[in-house]
Amino acid sequence: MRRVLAALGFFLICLCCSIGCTSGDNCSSGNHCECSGGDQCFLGCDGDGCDQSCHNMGTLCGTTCGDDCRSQCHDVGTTCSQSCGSRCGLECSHVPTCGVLCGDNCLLKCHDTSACSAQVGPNSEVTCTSVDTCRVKCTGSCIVHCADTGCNITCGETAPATECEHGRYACGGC
Amino acid sequence: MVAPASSFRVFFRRALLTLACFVLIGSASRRAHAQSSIRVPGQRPGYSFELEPHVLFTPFEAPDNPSGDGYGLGVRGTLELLPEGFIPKLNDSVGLGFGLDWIHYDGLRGRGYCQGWAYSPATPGYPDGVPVCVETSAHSSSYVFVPVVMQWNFWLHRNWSVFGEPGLALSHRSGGDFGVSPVFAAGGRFHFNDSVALTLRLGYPSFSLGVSFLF
Repeated sequence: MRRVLAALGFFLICLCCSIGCTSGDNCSSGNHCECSGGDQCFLGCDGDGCDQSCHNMGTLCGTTCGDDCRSQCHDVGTTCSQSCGSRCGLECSHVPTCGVLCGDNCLLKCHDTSACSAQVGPNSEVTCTSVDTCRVKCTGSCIVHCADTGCNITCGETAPATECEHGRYACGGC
Repeated sequence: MVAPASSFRVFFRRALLTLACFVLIGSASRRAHAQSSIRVPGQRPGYSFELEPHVLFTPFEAPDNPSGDGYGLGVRGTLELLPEGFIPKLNDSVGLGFGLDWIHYDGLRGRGYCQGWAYSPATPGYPDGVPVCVETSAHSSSYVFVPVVMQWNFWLHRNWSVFGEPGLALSHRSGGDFGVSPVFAAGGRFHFNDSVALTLRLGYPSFSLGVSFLF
């Protein structure tokens, strides 16, 4: 009987500990915030400097953030959505469509997707690798690395970017 | 960032539950040894139906969206099906439990649903541009669960019994969809007398603390 009660007690203590030790996801400035599993999830950030990760979702994954954020989105059924302010580092991969909006000094990596659609601010750099359609609109000077076919880089609404060398496009001078 | 009041509430709930666990364990360890009834089949309160209103708490996410923890109210009814249980030499019994639980999830700040969209440049398949979320919102939600479980009881002592409960629950989010969730729990009762017991249940989708009335 003692053994039964001891085993029961141990089980309950473990369960209680697991309750007390559960850590919350803290989508606030400077913290890591993650969402995975389920059908769709959208991560926000209370302030700037969030480190966001949204992945392995059935349909949609999205991250929104202020400035100085990092965001990863991958392995999603339909679309990854990423929006960010200034000085952000974004990565989107292994999803049919990436949709990205970010401000100045944005560093974006799109890879292993069917379509990557991005609008980036001045002094940004975009890299498309293993992407069928890489559509980038730069609202200021930018560099876009796109060695695949299907590169569509514009400066502003319609002006085509300059192809500085094979696979390297620029707005505002090479 | 989680608000201080919310953090305190979560901490308080967890502390209360942990305290309840230790009180149950401590009391069981001290008293149960001398008057064990686990090897005496039939030595337990006689009843055919258990009615158990309870309060609920869950540290788990809602079934289909990131929600944070939740709390609520519910009731469980259990019909005794096998008074002698599955193991002849043990004082066990088996019942069929069904219930109705309402759980409210506050939602997580920074995780939830999109409430503002903009569009990145058009691509094949998205002639108007790819929709990009630019504003998110925490999303509170309420669920109703209708669990149906097998309750396997072990009558350890005059004052103590424990049980395991595997089963399924139909779930419904207010204003949303229906779904089916697994249910599994381990629980214990402290019997004040042959008719009334304090019942704690730990498991998924929620924990409960209630009072059982045995009829």
